[in-house]
Amino acid sequence: MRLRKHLSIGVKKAVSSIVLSVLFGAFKQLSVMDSRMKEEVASWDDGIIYCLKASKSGPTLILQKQGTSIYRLKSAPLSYHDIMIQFKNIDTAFKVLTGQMGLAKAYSAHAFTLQGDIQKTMSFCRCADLAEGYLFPKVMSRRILKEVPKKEHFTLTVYLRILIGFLNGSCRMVPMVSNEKR
Amino acid sequence: MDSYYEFQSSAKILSGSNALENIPSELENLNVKRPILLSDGVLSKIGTLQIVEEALNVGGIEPAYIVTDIPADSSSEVVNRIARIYHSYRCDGIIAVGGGSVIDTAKGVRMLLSQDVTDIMELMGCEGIPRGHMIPFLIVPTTSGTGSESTLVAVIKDKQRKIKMEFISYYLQPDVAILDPRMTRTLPPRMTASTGMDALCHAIEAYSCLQKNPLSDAHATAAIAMIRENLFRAVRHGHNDQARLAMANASLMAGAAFSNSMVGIVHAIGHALGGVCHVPHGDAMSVLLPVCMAYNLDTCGEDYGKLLLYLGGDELYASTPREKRAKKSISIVRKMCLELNRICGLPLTLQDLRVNPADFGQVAETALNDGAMIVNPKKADKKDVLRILDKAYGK
Repeated sequence: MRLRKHLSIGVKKAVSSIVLSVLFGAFKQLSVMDSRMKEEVASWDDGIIYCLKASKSGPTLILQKQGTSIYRLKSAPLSYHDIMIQFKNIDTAFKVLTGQMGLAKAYSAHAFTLQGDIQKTMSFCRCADLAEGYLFPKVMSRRILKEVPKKEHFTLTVYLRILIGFLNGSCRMVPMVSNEKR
Repeated sequence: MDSYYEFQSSAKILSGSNALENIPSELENLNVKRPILLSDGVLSKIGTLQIVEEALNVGGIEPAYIVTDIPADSSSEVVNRIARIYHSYRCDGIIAVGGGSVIDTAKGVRMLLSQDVTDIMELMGCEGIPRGHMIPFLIVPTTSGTGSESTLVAVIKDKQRKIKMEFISYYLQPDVAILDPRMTRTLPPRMTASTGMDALCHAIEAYSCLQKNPLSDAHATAAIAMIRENLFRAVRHGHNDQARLAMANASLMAGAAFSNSMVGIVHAIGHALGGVCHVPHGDAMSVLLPVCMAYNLDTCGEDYGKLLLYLGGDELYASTPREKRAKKSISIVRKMCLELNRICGLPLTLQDLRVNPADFGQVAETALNDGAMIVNPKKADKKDVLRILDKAYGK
Protein backbone atom coordinates (compact mmCIF):
# COMPACT_ATOMS: atom_id res chain seq x y z
CA MET A 1 0.00 0.00 0.00
CA ARG A 2 1.29 3.44 -0.85
CA LEU A 3 2.30 5.55 2.11
CA ARG A 4 -0.22 8.25 1.25
CA LYS A 5 -3.12 5.79 1.20
CA HIS A 6 -1.83 4.19 4.42
CA LEU A 7 -1.71 7.58 6.15
CA SER A 8 -5.12 8.54 4.81
CA ILE A 9 -6.68 5.36 6.22
CA GLY A 10 -4.93 5.90 9.55
CA VAL A 11 -6.25 9.46 9.81
CA LYS A 12 -9.76 8.42 8.78
CA LYS A 13 -9.79 5.64 11.39
CA ALA A 14 -8.55 8.01 14.10
CA VAL A 15 -11.12 10.69 13.24
CA SER A 16 -13.89 8.08 12.98
CA SER A 17 -12.95 6.74 16.39
CA ILE A 18 -13.27 10.22 17.92
CA VAL A 19 -16.57 10.89 16.14
CA LEU A 20 -17.98 7.56 17.33
CA SER A 21 -17.15 8.55 20.91
CA VAL A 22 -18.85 11.92 20.46
CA LEU A 23 -21.80 10.20 18.78
CA PHE A 24 -22.17 7.90 21.76
CA GLY A 25 -22.00 10.93 24.06
CA ALA A 26 -24.75 12.55 22.01
CA PHE A 27 -26.91 9.39 22.16
CA LYS A 28 -26.39 9.18 25.91
CA GLN A 29 -27.21 12.83 26.61
CA LEU A 30 -30.01 13.24 24.09
CA SER A 31 -31.73 10.09 25.34
CA VAL A 32 -32.30 12.10 28.51
CA MET A 33 -32.63 15.62 27.10
CA ASP A 34 -34.59 15.28 23.85
CA SER A 35 -38.18 14.04 24.07
CA ARG A 36 -38.10 12.31 20.64
CA MET A 37 -34.84 10.53 21.41
CA LYS A 38 -36.16 9.55 24.84
CA GLU A 39 -39.21 8.02 23.18
CA GLU A 40 -37.10 6.15 20.62
CA VAL A 41 -34.73 4.69 23.22
CA ALA A 42 -37.68 3.76 25.45
CA SER A 43 -39.03 1.68 22.54
CA TRP A 44 -35.81 -0.37 22.32
CA ASP A 45 -35.85 -3.86 23.83
CA ASP A 46 -34.10 -4.01 27.20
CA GLY A 47 -30.60 -5.37 26.74
CA ILE A 48 -30.48 -4.82 22.98
CA ILE A 49 -27.04 -4.10 21.55
CA TYR A 50 -26.42 -1.80 18.61
CA CYS A 51 -23.01 -2.12 17.04
CA LEU A 52 -21.75 0.42 14.52
CA LYS A 53 -18.51 -0.60 12.81
CA ALA A 54 -16.65 1.85 10.61
CA SER A 55 -15.39 -0.96 8.30
CA LYS A 56 -14.32 -4.51 9.12
CA SER A 57 -11.13 -3.47 10.90
CA GLY A 58 -12.19 0.05 11.77
CA PRO A 59 -13.23 1.64 15.06
CA THR A 60 -16.45 0.38 16.59
CA LEU A 61 -19.21 1.77 18.73
CA ILE A 62 -21.13 -0.83 20.71
CA LEU A 63 -23.94 0.44 22.84
CA GLN A 64 -26.43 -1.43 24.96
CA LYS A 65 -29.70 -0.39 26.47
CA GLN A 66 -29.68 -1.35 30.13
CA GLY A 67 -32.90 -0.40 31.95
CA THR A 68 -33.72 3.15 30.95
CA SER A 69 -30.20 4.18 30.00
CA ILE A 70 -27.66 3.36 27.33
CA TYR A 71 -24.06 2.33 27.95
CA ARG A 72 -21.01 1.89 25.78
CA LEU A 73 -19.48 -1.58 25.75
CA LYS A 74 -15.91 -2.52 24.96
CA SER A 75 -16.94 -5.73 23.23
CA ALA A 76 -19.96 -7.97 23.09
CA PRO A 77 -21.01 -11.24 21.49
CA LEU A 78 -23.96 -10.41 19.28
CA SER A 79 -27.05 -12.58 18.93
CA TYR A 80 -29.75 -12.26 16.31
CA HIS A 81 -31.70 -10.07 18.70
CA ASP A 82 -28.98 -7.43 18.27
CA ILE A 83 -28.08 -5.14 15.42
CA MET A 84 -24.78 -4.67 13.65
CA ILE A 85 -24.24 -2.02 11.02
CA GLN A 86 -20.88 -2.46 9.34
CA PHE A 87 -19.58 -0.07 6.72
CA LYS A 88 -18.00 -1.78 3.73
CA ASN A 89 -15.03 0.59 3.72
CA ILE A 90 -13.55 3.25 5.96
CA ASP A 91 -13.80 5.96 3.28
CA THR A 92 -17.61 5.92 3.22
CA ALA A 93 -17.80 5.49 6.99
CA PHE A 94 -15.62 8.59 7.30
CA LYS A 95 -17.96 10.52 5.00
CA VAL A 96 -20.98 9.55 7.09
CA LEU A 97 -19.32 10.21 10.42
CA THR A 98 -18.01 13.61 9.38
CA GLY A 99 -21.32 14.81 8.01
CA GLN A 100 -20.52 14.59 4.31
CA MET A 101 -23.13 11.90 3.71
CA GLY A 102 -26.39 11.05 5.48
CA LEU A 103 -27.34 7.57 6.69
CA ALA A 104 -30.19 7.33 4.16
CA LYS A 105 -27.82 8.18 1.36
CA ALA A 106 -25.26 5.70 2.68
CA TYR A 107 -27.93 3.01 2.76
CA SER A 108 -28.95 3.85 -0.80
CA ALA A 109 -25.32 3.59 -1.88
CA HIS A 110 -25.07 0.12 -0.30
CA ALA A 111 -22.38 1.54 1.96
CA PHE A 112 -23.02 -0.84 4.83
CA THR A 113 -24.29 -4.28 5.63
CA LEU A 114 -26.80 -4.93 8.34
CA GLN A 115 -27.18 -7.93 10.57
CA GLY A 116 -30.40 -8.14 12.56
CA ASP A 117 -33.91 -6.81 12.45
CA ILE A 118 -34.36 -3.98 9.95
CA GLN A 119 -37.38 -2.74 11.94
CA LYS A 120 -35.27 -2.26 15.06
CA THR A 121 -32.58 -0.53 13.01
CA MET A 122 -34.95 2.16 11.80
CA SER A 123 -35.27 3.54 15.33
CA PHE A 124 -31.48 3.67 15.64
CA CYS A 125 -31.28 5.52 12.29
CA ARG A 126 -33.84 8.08 13.46
CA CYS A 127 -31.75 8.60 16.62
CA ALA A 128 -28.61 9.06 14.51
CA ASP A 129 -30.42 11.62 12.36
CA LEU A 130 -31.50 13.49 15.49
CA ALA A 131 -27.97 13.40 16.89
CA GLU A 132 -26.56 14.67 13.59
CA GLY A 133 -29.10 17.48 13.66
CA TYR A 134 -27.55 18.62 16.94
CA LEU A 135 -23.90 17.86 16.29
CA PHE A 136 -23.50 19.29 12.78
CA PRO A 137 -24.06 22.89 11.73
CA LYS A 138 -27.34 23.49 9.90
CA VAL A 139 -25.55 24.07 6.60
CA MET A 140 -24.22 20.49 6.79
CA SER A 141 -27.26 18.76 8.25
CA ARG A 142 -29.51 20.38 5.64
CA ARG A 143 -27.43 18.70 2.98
CA ILE A 144 -27.37 15.23 4.48
CA LEU A 145 -30.77 14.91 6.15
CA LYS A 146 -34.12 14.77 4.38
CA GLU A 147 -35.39 17.22 6.98
CA VAL A 148 -33.40 19.01 9.68
CA PRO A 149 -34.98 18.09 13.04
CA LYS A 150 -36.17 20.92 15.23
CA LYS A 151 -33.78 21.34 18.14
CA GLU A 152 -35.24 21.20 21.64
CA HIS A 153 -31.91 22.39 23.12
CA PHE A 154 -28.97 24.51 22.02
CA THR A 155 -26.18 22.61 20.28
CA LEU A 156 -23.69 24.19 22.70
CA THR A 157 -25.62 22.75 25.67
CA VAL A 158 -25.50 19.28 24.11
CA TYR A 159 -21.75 19.50 23.45
CA LEU A 160 -21.21 20.76 27.00
CA ARG A 161 -23.20 17.85 28.44
CA ILE A 162 -21.21 15.43 26.27
CA LEU A 163 -17.95 16.94 27.55
CA ILE A 164 -19.13 16.71 31.15
CA GLY A 165 -20.13 13.10 30.45
CA PHE A 166 -16.59 12.32 29.31
CA LEU A 167 -15.07 14.07 32.32
CA ASN A 168 -17.28 12.48 34.97
CA GLY A 169 -16.93 9.03 33.44
CA SER A 170 -20.55 8.44 32.51
CA CYS A 171 -19.47 7.81 28.91
CA ARG A 172 -16.85 5.22 29.88
CA MET A 173 -17.05 1.69 28.58
CA VAL A 174 -18.84 -0.80 30.85
CA PRO A 175 -19.14 -4.59 30.88
CA MET A 176 -22.01 -6.11 28.99
CA VAL A 177 -25.14 -7.04 30.90
CA SER A 178 -26.63 -10.28 29.69
CA ASN A 179 -30.35 -10.24 29.52
CA GLU A 180 -32.44 -13.36 29.16
CA LYS A 181 -35.32 -11.33 27.78
CA ARG A 182 -33.31 -10.37 24.72
CA MET B 1 -26.93 10.55 -11.72
CA ASP B 2 -25.56 9.56 -8.34
CA SER B 3 -21.83 9.18 -7.94
CA TYR B 4 -22.22 5.52 -6.97
CA TYR B 5 -24.78 2.79 -7.48
CA GLU B 6 -25.02 -1.00 -7.50
CA PHE B 7 -27.24 -3.12 -9.74
CA GLN B 8 -27.77 -6.84 -9.98
CA SER B 9 -30.37 -8.85 -11.86
CA SER B 10 -28.75 -12.23 -12.22
CA ALA B 11 -31.58 -14.65 -13.02
CA LYS B 12 -31.77 -16.29 -16.40
CA ILE B 13 -35.19 -15.47 -17.87
CA LEU B 14 -37.22 -17.96 -19.90
CA SER B 15 -40.17 -16.05 -21.34
CA GLY B 16 -42.72 -17.35 -23.82
CA SER B 17 -45.53 -19.72 -24.60
CA ASN B 18 -43.60 -22.96 -24.03
CA ALA B 19 -41.18 -21.76 -21.41
CA LEU B 20 -42.29 -24.38 -18.87
CA GLU B 21 -41.21 -27.21 -21.17
CA ASN B 22 -37.62 -25.96 -20.89
CA ILE B 23 -37.49 -26.39 -17.10
CA PRO B 24 -36.12 -29.99 -17.26
CA SER B 25 -33.28 -28.80 -19.47
CA GLU B 26 -32.47 -26.01 -17.00
CA LEU B 27 -32.58 -28.49 -14.12
CA GLU B 28 -30.15 -30.69 -15.99
CA ASN B 29 -27.82 -27.71 -16.45
CA LEU B 30 -28.00 -27.06 -12.72
CA ASN B 31 -27.48 -30.75 -11.94
CA VAL B 32 -30.83 -31.12 -10.19
CA LYS B 33 -32.44 -34.54 -10.08
CA ARG B 34 -34.66 -34.40 -6.98
CA PRO B 35 -36.25 -30.95 -6.77
CA ILE B 36 -38.72 -29.93 -4.10
CA LEU B 37 -41.77 -28.30 -5.67
CA LEU B 38 -43.34 -25.51 -3.62
CA SER B 39 -46.80 -24.15 -4.31
CA ASP B 40 -50.16 -23.48 -2.66
CA GLY B 41 -53.50 -25.23 -2.35
CA VAL B 42 -55.37 -22.98 -4.75
CA LEU B 43 -52.91 -23.51 -7.61
CA SER B 44 -53.04 -27.25 -7.01
CA LYS B 45 -56.87 -27.19 -7.01
CA ILE B 46 -57.29 -25.17 -10.21
CA GLY B 47 -54.73 -27.23 -12.12
CA THR B 48 -52.01 -24.62 -12.59
CA LEU B 49 -49.51 -26.66 -10.63
CA GLN B 50 -50.32 -29.74 -12.70
CA ILE B 51 -49.24 -27.90 -15.88
CA VAL B 52 -45.78 -27.48 -14.34
CA GLU B 53 -45.73 -31.07 -13.10
CA GLU B 54 -46.59 -32.30 -16.58
CA ALA B 55 -43.78 -30.24 -18.09
CA LEU B 56 -41.40 -31.77 -15.54
CA ASN B 57 -42.63 -35.33 -16.14
CA VAL B 58 -42.30 -35.03 -19.91
CA GLY B 59 -38.69 -34.01 -19.35
CA GLY B 60 -38.11 -37.02 -17.06
CA ILE B 61 -38.12 -35.11 -13.76
CA GLU B 62 -40.13 -36.35 -10.77
CA PRO B 63 -40.20 -33.93 -7.80
CA ALA B 64 -38.86 -35.56 -4.64
CA TYR B 65 -41.55 -33.79 -2.61
CA ILE B 66 -44.44 -31.41 -3.38
CA VAL B 67 -45.56 -28.82 -0.82
CA THR B 68 -49.00 -27.35 -1.53
CA ASP B 69 -49.98 -25.86 1.82
CA ILE B 70 -48.05 -22.59 1.81
CA PRO B 71 -50.43 -20.00 3.30
CA ALA B 72 -51.15 -16.53 1.87
CA ASP B 73 -48.96 -14.84 4.47
CA SER B 74 -45.99 -17.13 4.79
CA SER B 75 -44.27 -17.20 8.14
CA SER B 76 -40.91 -18.16 9.59
CA GLU B 77 -42.43 -21.41 10.91
CA VAL B 78 -43.44 -22.46 7.39
CA VAL B 79 -39.95 -21.69 6.05
CA ASN B 80 -38.27 -23.66 8.83
CA ARG B 81 -40.61 -26.62 8.30
CA ILE B 82 -39.98 -26.82 4.54
CA ALA B 83 -36.22 -26.67 5.07
CA ARG B 84 -36.52 -29.74 7.29
CA ILE B 85 -38.54 -31.54 4.57
CA TYR B 86 -35.87 -30.62 2.00
CA HIS B 87 -33.23 -32.35 4.11
CA SER B 88 -35.26 -35.42 4.98
CA TYR B 89 -36.22 -36.10 1.34
CA ARG B 90 -32.64 -35.43 0.15
CA CYS B 91 -33.78 -32.79 -2.33
CA ASP B 92 -31.17 -31.03 -4.46
CA GLY B 93 -32.99 -27.96 -5.77
CA ILE B 94 -36.07 -25.79 -5.33
CA ILE B 95 -38.85 -24.99 -7.80
CA ALA B 96 -41.34 -22.38 -6.59
CA VAL B 97 -44.66 -22.12 -8.43
CA GLY B 98 -46.85 -19.36 -7.11
CA GLY B 99 -47.37 -15.75 -6.18
CA GLY B 100 -45.47 -13.54 -3.74
CA SER B 101 -46.01 -15.69 -0.68
CA VAL B 102 -44.85 -18.96 -2.25
CA ILE B 103 -41.84 -17.28 -3.84
CA ASP B 104 -40.83 -15.46 -0.66
CA THR B 105 -41.18 -18.73 1.27
CA ALA B 106 -38.96 -20.46 -1.29
CA LYS B 107 -36.39 -17.68 -1.00
CA GLY B 108 -36.44 -18.09 2.76
CA VAL B 109 -35.95 -21.86 2.42
CA ARG B 110 -33.05 -21.40 0.03
CA MET B 111 -31.44 -18.86 2.36
CA LEU B 112 -31.82 -21.19 5.32
CA LEU B 113 -30.37 -24.18 3.44
CA SER B 114 -27.47 -22.24 1.98
CA GLN B 115 -26.40 -20.86 5.35
CA ASP B 116 -26.72 -24.00 7.48
CA VAL B 117 -28.99 -22.44 10.08
CA THR B 118 -32.25 -23.81 11.47
CA ASP B 119 -34.21 -20.61 12.10
CA ILE B 120 -34.71 -18.03 9.36
CA MET B 121 -34.81 -15.21 11.94
CA GLU B 122 -31.06 -15.67 12.45
CA LEU B 123 -30.57 -14.32 8.94
CA MET B 124 -32.50 -11.08 9.23
CA GLY B 125 -30.73 -8.13 7.77
CA CYS B 126 -29.48 -6.44 4.69
CA GLU B 127 -26.68 -7.57 2.41
CA GLY B 128 -24.97 -9.29 5.31
CA ILE B 129 -25.52 -12.87 4.20
CA PRO B 130 -22.70 -14.53 2.23
CA ARG B 131 -23.42 -16.81 -0.75
CA GLY B 132 -23.18 -20.04 1.26
CA HIS B 133 -23.96 -23.42 -0.33
CA MET B 134 -25.27 -23.33 -3.89
CA ILE B 135 -28.93 -24.39 -3.84
CA PRO B 136 -30.35 -24.43 -7.38
CA PHE B 137 -33.48 -22.33 -7.43
CA LEU B 138 -36.13 -21.85 -10.12
CA ILE B 139 -39.18 -19.61 -9.91
CA VAL B 140 -42.39 -19.85 -11.92
CA PRO B 141 -44.54 -16.83 -11.01
CA THR B 142 -48.32 -17.29 -11.26
CA THR B 143 -49.23 -13.64 -10.76
CA SER B 144 -47.91 -10.57 -12.55
CA GLY B 145 -47.27 -8.15 -9.74
CA THR B 146 -44.82 -8.98 -7.00
CA GLY B 147 -41.84 -9.27 -9.34
CA SER B 148 -40.42 -11.45 -6.61
CA GLU B 149 -38.78 -13.67 -9.23
CA SER B 150 -36.27 -10.90 -9.91
CA THR B 151 -35.84 -9.25 -6.52
CA LEU B 152 -33.26 -9.55 -3.77
CA VAL B 153 -35.92 -9.11 -1.14
CA ALA B 154 -38.02 -11.63 0.75
CA VAL B 155 -40.84 -10.63 3.07
CA ILE B 156 -41.76 -13.20 5.68
CA LYS B 157 -44.24 -12.68 8.49
CA ASP B 158 -43.34 -12.78 12.14
CA LYS B 159 -46.68 -13.96 13.49
CA GLN B 160 -45.82 -13.14 17.07
CA ARG B 161 -45.04 -9.49 16.41
CA LYS B 162 -47.63 -9.12 13.62
CA ILE B 163 -45.04 -7.63 11.30
CA LYS B 164 -43.55 -8.57 7.97
CA MET B 165 -39.80 -9.14 8.25
CA GLU B 166 -37.57 -8.07 5.39
CA PHE B 167 -34.57 -10.05 4.23
CA ILE B 168 -32.32 -8.40 1.66
CA SER B 169 -29.53 -10.27 -0.06
CA TYR B 170 -28.17 -10.53 -3.59
CA TYR B 171 -28.22 -14.31 -3.11
CA LEU B 172 -32.02 -14.36 -2.92
CA GLN B 173 -32.31 -14.02 -6.67
CA PRO B 174 -33.13 -17.31 -8.41
CA ASP B 175 -30.99 -19.04 -11.00
CA VAL B 176 -33.87 -19.16 -13.47
CA ALA B 177 -37.22 -17.34 -13.71
CA ILE B 178 -39.84 -18.83 -16.03
CA LEU B 179 -42.56 -16.59 -17.48
CA ASP B 180 -45.24 -18.61 -19.25
CA PRO B 181 -48.66 -17.09 -20.08
CA ARG B 182 -50.39 -20.36 -19.10
CA MET B 183 -49.51 -19.61 -15.49
CA THR B 184 -51.59 -16.42 -15.27
CA ARG B 185 -54.37 -17.29 -17.73
CA THR B 186 -56.82 -18.28 -14.98
CA LEU B 187 -56.04 -15.33 -12.71
CA PRO B 188 -59.41 -13.59 -12.06
CA PRO B 189 -59.82 -9.98 -13.31
CA ARG B 190 -59.88 -8.54 -9.80
CA MET B 191 -56.60 -10.28 -8.90
CA THR B 192 -55.06 -9.35 -12.26
CA ALA B 193 -55.89 -5.71 -11.56
CA SER B 194 -54.59 -5.79 -7.98
CA THR B 195 -51.29 -7.45 -8.86
CA GLY B 196 -50.88 -5.25 -11.93
CA MET B 197 -51.21 -2.15 -9.75
CA ASP B 198 -48.61 -3.66 -7.44
CA ALA B 199 -46.22 -3.89 -10.40
CA LEU B 200 -47.01 -0.31 -11.38
CA CYS B 201 -46.33 0.79 -7.84
CA HIS B 202 -42.96 -1.01 -7.88
CA ALA B 203 -41.97 0.78 -11.07
CA ILE B 204 -43.11 4.24 -9.94
CA GLU B 205 -41.48 3.95 -6.52
CA ALA B 206 -38.30 2.54 -8.09
CA TYR B 207 -38.13 5.53 -10.40
CA SER B 208 -38.42 8.02 -7.55
CA CYS B 209 -36.56 6.42 -4.64
CA LEU B 210 -33.18 7.45 -3.26
CA GLN B 211 -31.42 4.42 -4.74
CA LYS B 212 -32.59 5.06 -8.32
CA ASN B 213 -29.93 4.63 -10.98
CA PRO B 214 -29.81 4.53 -14.80
CA LEU B 215 -30.35 0.77 -14.99
CA SER B 216 -33.26 0.69 -12.55
CA ASP B 217 -34.78 3.67 -14.39
CA ALA B 218 -34.59 1.78 -17.69
CA HIS B 219 -36.36 -1.24 -16.19
CA ALA B 220 -38.95 0.93 -14.40
CA THR B 221 -39.94 3.02 -17.41
CA ALA B 222 -40.15 0.00 -19.72
CA ALA B 223 -42.36 -1.72 -17.15
CA ILE B 224 -44.68 1.29 -16.82
CA ALA B 225 -45.15 1.55 -20.59
CA MET B 226 -45.94 -2.18 -20.79
CA ILE B 227 -48.42 -1.97 -17.92
CA ARG B 228 -50.16 1.01 -19.57
CA GLU B 229 -50.55 -0.96 -22.79
CA ASN B 230 -51.50 -4.34 -21.34
CA LEU B 231 -53.05 -4.16 -17.88
CA PHE B 232 -56.59 -3.37 -19.05
CA ARG B 233 -56.36 -5.93 -21.83
CA ALA B 234 -55.26 -8.61 -19.34
CA VAL B 235 -58.06 -7.66 -16.92
CA ARG B 236 -60.77 -7.65 -19.60
CA HIS B 237 -59.53 -10.63 -21.60
CA GLY B 238 -57.78 -13.03 -19.26
CA HIS B 239 -57.04 -15.53 -22.04
CA ASN B 240 -55.14 -13.00 -24.14
CA ASP B 241 -51.72 -14.66 -23.91
CA GLN B 242 -49.95 -11.67 -25.42
CA ALA B 243 -51.26 -9.34 -22.72
CA ARG B 244 -50.55 -11.92 -20.02
CA LEU B 245 -46.98 -12.43 -21.14
CA ALA B 246 -46.42 -8.68 -21.42
CA MET B 247 -47.71 -8.20 -17.88
CA ALA B 248 -45.45 -11.00 -16.63
CA ASN B 249 -42.48 -9.26 -18.26
CA ALA B 250 -43.55 -5.86 -16.89
CA SER B 251 -43.82 -7.34 -13.42
CA LEU B 252 -40.36 -8.89 -13.69
CA MET B 253 -38.81 -5.64 -14.94
CA ALA B 254 -40.53 -3.61 -12.23
CA GLY B 255 -39.17 -6.15 -9.75
CA ALA B 256 -35.64 -5.79 -11.09
CA ALA B 257 -36.03 -2.01 -10.91
CA PHE B 258 -37.22 -1.79 -7.34
CA SER B 259 -34.94 -4.55 -6.22
CA ASN B 260 -32.03 -2.27 -7.04
CA SER B 261 -33.48 1.12 -6.21
CA MET B 262 -35.85 0.00 -3.45
CA VAL B 263 -39.41 1.08 -2.76
CA GLY B 264 -40.55 3.87 -0.47
CA ILE B 265 -43.46 5.10 1.56
CA VAL B 266 -46.23 3.28 -0.37
CA HIS B 267 -44.64 -0.04 0.49
CA ALA B 268 -43.72 0.98 4.03
CA ILE B 269 -47.38 1.73 4.79
CA GLY B 270 -48.61 -1.17 2.63
CA HIS B 271 -46.46 -3.68 4.52
CA ALA B 272 -47.80 -2.28 7.79
CA LEU B 273 -51.41 -2.53 6.59
CA GLY B 274 -50.71 -6.13 5.60
CA GLY B 275 -49.13 -6.98 8.92
CA VAL B 276 -51.61 -5.23 11.20
CA CYS B 277 -54.89 -5.29 9.25
CA HIS B 278 -54.28 -8.21 6.84
CA VAL B 279 -54.95 -6.03 3.78
CA PRO B 280 -53.89 -7.85 0.57
CA HIS B 281 -50.67 -6.30 -0.68
CA GLY B 282 -51.83 -5.36 -4.20
CA ASP B 283 -55.01 -3.75 -2.90
CA ALA B 284 -53.05 -1.72 -0.38
CA MET B 285 -50.68 -0.55 -3.12
CA SER B 286 -53.53 0.45 -5.39
CA VAL B 287 -55.25 2.49 -2.68
CA LEU B 288 -52.06 4.09 -1.33
CA LEU B 289 -50.19 4.85 -4.56
CA PRO B 290 -51.98 8.06 -5.65
CA VAL B 291 -52.22 9.34 -2.07
CA CYS B 292 -48.51 8.78 -1.39
CA MET B 293 -47.53 10.25 -4.77
CA ALA B 294 -49.42 13.39 -3.77
CA TYR B 295 -47.52 13.39 -0.45
CA ASN B 296 -44.15 13.04 -2.22
CA LEU B 297 -45.04 15.52 -4.95
CA ASP B 298 -42.96 18.47 -3.72
CA THR B 299 -39.84 16.26 -3.49
CA CYS B 300 -40.41 13.90 -6.44
CA GLY B 301 -42.23 16.26 -8.81
CA GLU B 302 -39.51 16.18 -11.42
CA ASP B 303 -39.43 12.38 -11.55
CA TYR B 304 -43.21 12.07 -11.61
CA GLY B 305 -43.27 14.63 -14.44
CA LYS B 306 -40.89 12.50 -16.50
CA LEU B 307 -43.04 9.42 -15.87
CA LEU B 308 -45.94 11.01 -17.72
CA LEU B 309 -44.31 9.94 -20.97
CA TYR B 310 -44.66 6.28 -19.95
CA LEU B 311 -47.93 6.56 -18.03
CA GLY B 312 -49.79 8.66 -20.56
CA GLY B 313 -47.96 8.20 -23.86
CA ASP B 314 -45.99 10.63 -25.99
CA GLU B 315 -48.87 12.78 -27.21
CA LEU B 316 -50.18 13.52 -23.75
CA TYR B 317 -46.65 14.16 -22.52
CA ALA B 318 -45.93 16.59 -25.34
CA SER B 319 -49.19 18.46 -24.91
CA THR B 320 -48.83 18.87 -21.13
CA PRO B 321 -46.81 21.85 -19.90
CA ARG B 322 -43.73 20.80 -17.97
CA GLU B 323 -44.96 22.21 -14.64
CA LYS B 324 -48.22 20.26 -14.88
CA ARG B 325 -46.77 16.88 -15.83
CA ALA B 326 -46.21 15.57 -12.29
CA LYS B 327 -49.81 16.26 -11.23
CA LYS B 328 -51.01 14.79 -14.51
CA SER B 329 -49.10 11.57 -13.75
CA ILE B 330 -50.87 11.32 -10.40
CA SER B 331 -54.24 11.96 -12.03
CA ILE B 332 -53.56 9.19 -14.56
CA VAL B 333 -52.81 6.75 -11.75
CA ARG B 334 -56.09 7.80 -10.08
CA LYS B 335 -57.95 7.31 -13.36
CA MET B 336 -56.45 3.83 -13.73
CA CYS B 337 -57.68 2.94 -10.23
CA LEU B 338 -61.16 4.30 -10.99
CA GLU B 339 -61.35 2.39 -14.26
CA LEU B 340 -60.22 -0.83 -12.60
CA ASN B 341 -62.78 -0.25 -9.87
CA ARG B 342 -65.46 0.08 -12.56
CA ILE B 343 -64.34 -3.02 -14.48
CA CYS B 344 -63.65 -5.46 -11.64
CA GLY B 345 -64.32 -3.76 -8.32
CA LEU B 346 -60.75 -2.98 -7.32
CA PRO B 347 -61.05 -1.12 -3.99
CA LEU B 348 -60.45 2.62 -4.04
CA THR B 349 -60.21 3.35 -0.33
CA LEU B 350 -59.20 1.69 2.91
CA GLN B 351 -62.86 1.96 3.83
CA ASP B 352 -63.66 -0.33 0.89
CA LEU B 353 -61.09 -2.75 2.33
CA ARG B 354 -62.87 -2.62 5.70
CA VAL B 355 -59.82 -1.38 7.54
CA ASN B 356 -60.63 -0.21 11.05
CA PRO B 357 -59.36 3.39 11.57
CA ALA B 358 -58.73 2.46 15.22
CA ASP B 359 -55.72 0.47 13.93
CA PHE B 360 -54.15 3.47 12.19
CA GLY B 361 -51.91 4.30 15.16
CA GLN B 362 -50.34 0.84 15.13
CA VAL B 363 -50.12 0.88 11.33
CA ALA B 364 -48.30 4.22 11.41
CA GLU B 365 -45.80 3.04 14.03
CA THR B 366 -45.12 -0.15 12.11
CA ALA B 367 -44.73 1.77 8.84
CA LEU B 368 -42.13 4.10 10.36
CA ASN B 369 -40.03 1.08 11.27
CA ASP B 370 -40.24 -0.45 7.80
CA GLY B 371 -36.97 -0.52 5.89
CA ALA B 372 -38.61 1.07 2.84
CA MET B 373 -39.16 4.30 4.75
CA ILE B 374 -35.46 5.16 4.81
CA VAL B 375 -35.21 5.34 0.99
CA ASN B 376 -38.35 7.40 0.51
CA PRO B 377 -37.07 10.76 -0.73
CA LYS B 378 -39.33 12.73 1.61
CA LYS B 379 -39.20 12.34 5.35
CA ALA B 380 -42.39 11.16 7.01
CA ASP B 381 -43.21 11.08 10.70
CA LYS B 382 -46.15 9.47 12.47
CA LYS B 383 -48.42 12.46 11.86
CA ASP B 384 -47.66 12.38 8.13
CA VAL B 385 -48.42 8.66 7.92
CA LEU B 386 -51.66 9.12 9.86
CA ARG B 387 -52.69 11.90 7.45
CA ILE B 388 -51.96 9.61 4.48
CA LEU B 389 -54.00 6.82 6.09
CA ASP B 390 -56.92 9.20 6.71
CA LYS B 391 -56.86 10.30 3.08
CA ALA B 392 -56.58 6.71 1.86
CA TYR B 393 -59.53 5.80 4.08
CA GLY B 394 -61.59 8.40 2.30
CA LYS B 395 -62.00 10.82 5.20
